[in-house]
Amino acid sequence: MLGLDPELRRRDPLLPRPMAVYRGDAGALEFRFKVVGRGTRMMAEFAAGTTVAVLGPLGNGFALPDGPATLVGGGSGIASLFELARDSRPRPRVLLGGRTRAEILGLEDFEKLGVDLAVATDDGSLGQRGLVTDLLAPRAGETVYACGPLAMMQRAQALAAAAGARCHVSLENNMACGFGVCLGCVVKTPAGFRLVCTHGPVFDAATLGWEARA
Amino acid sequence: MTLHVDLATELCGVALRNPVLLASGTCGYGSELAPFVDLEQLGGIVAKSLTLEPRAGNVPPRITETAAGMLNAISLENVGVEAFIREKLPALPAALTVFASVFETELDRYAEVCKRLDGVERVAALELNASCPHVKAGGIEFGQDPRVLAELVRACRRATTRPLLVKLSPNVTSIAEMARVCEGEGADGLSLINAVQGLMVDVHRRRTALRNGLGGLSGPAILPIALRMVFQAARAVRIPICGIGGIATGEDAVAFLLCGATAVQVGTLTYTNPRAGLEVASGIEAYCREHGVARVRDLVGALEPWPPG
Repeated sequence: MLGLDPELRRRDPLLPRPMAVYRGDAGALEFRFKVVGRGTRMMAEFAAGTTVAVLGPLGNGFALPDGPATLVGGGSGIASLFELARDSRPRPRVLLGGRTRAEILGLEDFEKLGVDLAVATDDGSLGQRGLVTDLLAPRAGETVYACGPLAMMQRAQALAAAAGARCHVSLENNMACGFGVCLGCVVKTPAGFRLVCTHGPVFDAATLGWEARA
Repeated sequence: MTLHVDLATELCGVALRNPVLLASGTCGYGSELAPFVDLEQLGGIVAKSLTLEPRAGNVPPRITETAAGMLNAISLENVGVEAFIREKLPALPAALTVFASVFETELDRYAEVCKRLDGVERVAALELNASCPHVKAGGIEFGQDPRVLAELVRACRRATTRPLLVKLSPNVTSIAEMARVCEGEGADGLSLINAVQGLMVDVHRRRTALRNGLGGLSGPAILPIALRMVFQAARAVRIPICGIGGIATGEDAVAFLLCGATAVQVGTLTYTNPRAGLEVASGIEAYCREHGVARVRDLVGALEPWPPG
């Protein structure tokens, strides 16, 4: 959860924002996020040297694959996949999508990893024109990791299930706390409400009851 | 030489290490906060409201941010009173003072939850959440009708020998009247305020922001409303008051004490920082030191009148 300095944030906006760590290394955490409202706009305009409040890591994360894997990222969801792409062995296939070239965040970083990389954009400004899931052809037994718009993740799950592959997705939701007390971030599943913050954010997509909608 | 400040106080016969508790619904059952907070350093916690049976709550979206606050319609999702006693209570550190919050949809069920908690040694006091819609009274909150509120307090008073606080709804015309009703029916104390009824709209989708429509507004946005109500209730009754509403700092908490609250609860700010309650307690101590107040109890109701203008 990334928020304003405690002295500022106690008034407005009040709540910190749930964020994936894009990249973490010695002494630094890097966040990549999309400006979607007033809170993220204020964060995007932080001056160098601004003090921020960070609470984390919270919840689970992607488990590294034990075999072949394909990573599917859409828009700001790409930010959740960089470290997984960097650390997975064997090197995974990585599929990135967005509306335009500008939405393919971190493209240069992914290119440097030496992974099998493909891109799709809605307007064809980079890579194949169309949806990132048009590039997805899961192999039986592999693990598909997806983070992006709900429809993208549901499509990834459907393709994975049809091919006999597992699919893990990282969900996002509005939340106030991030540690299981506000109960604002629940998702409805066949097994009842699950908290994105502490039960997730990563879920086995087969547990989310998406089959009927895919 | 630094002044030693005595932060200890007492609320309805319950000794508190300091006057800061965590509000019901904002600290889970306590154990969720244990990774971030030394719980025993708090005055105590009021655990999430309990019903007879487990309850799943509303379908999302059920929270949304507002100016300096948030709106929620969780609808009191909880594990049920038996699982609380069996699984949640034993997980808490022995020195933590635990209040249980009770919530139901009918009078006899409220009383039954109180009865189940009555013999549980670990529960220091009960707090009745009176903001629930009363099914048989057509959905009005128990705490919105003085006659219904009186029946509720009477039924629960009969069901428990434990200290009984009533958490008042702010969605009323006269908070003083509701406070007097509770005192008259034998309540040992009052907690106020619960969330203020509100509504937010997503204009782009032309929908209410919450699926439930109405929600409860909390956070710093409601602090002046809460202070006003504590101020009025404190002048209407002699039983102690626990002040709640948007407390973010020690100075916020001191404002409630000055208006007549014996203790306070930190709620929504715990979401933004799990250590908020402890920081409020340190803030009260710092205030006392700065102003030469030796005992935090001396602040209760110690608001000075304005000189003639």
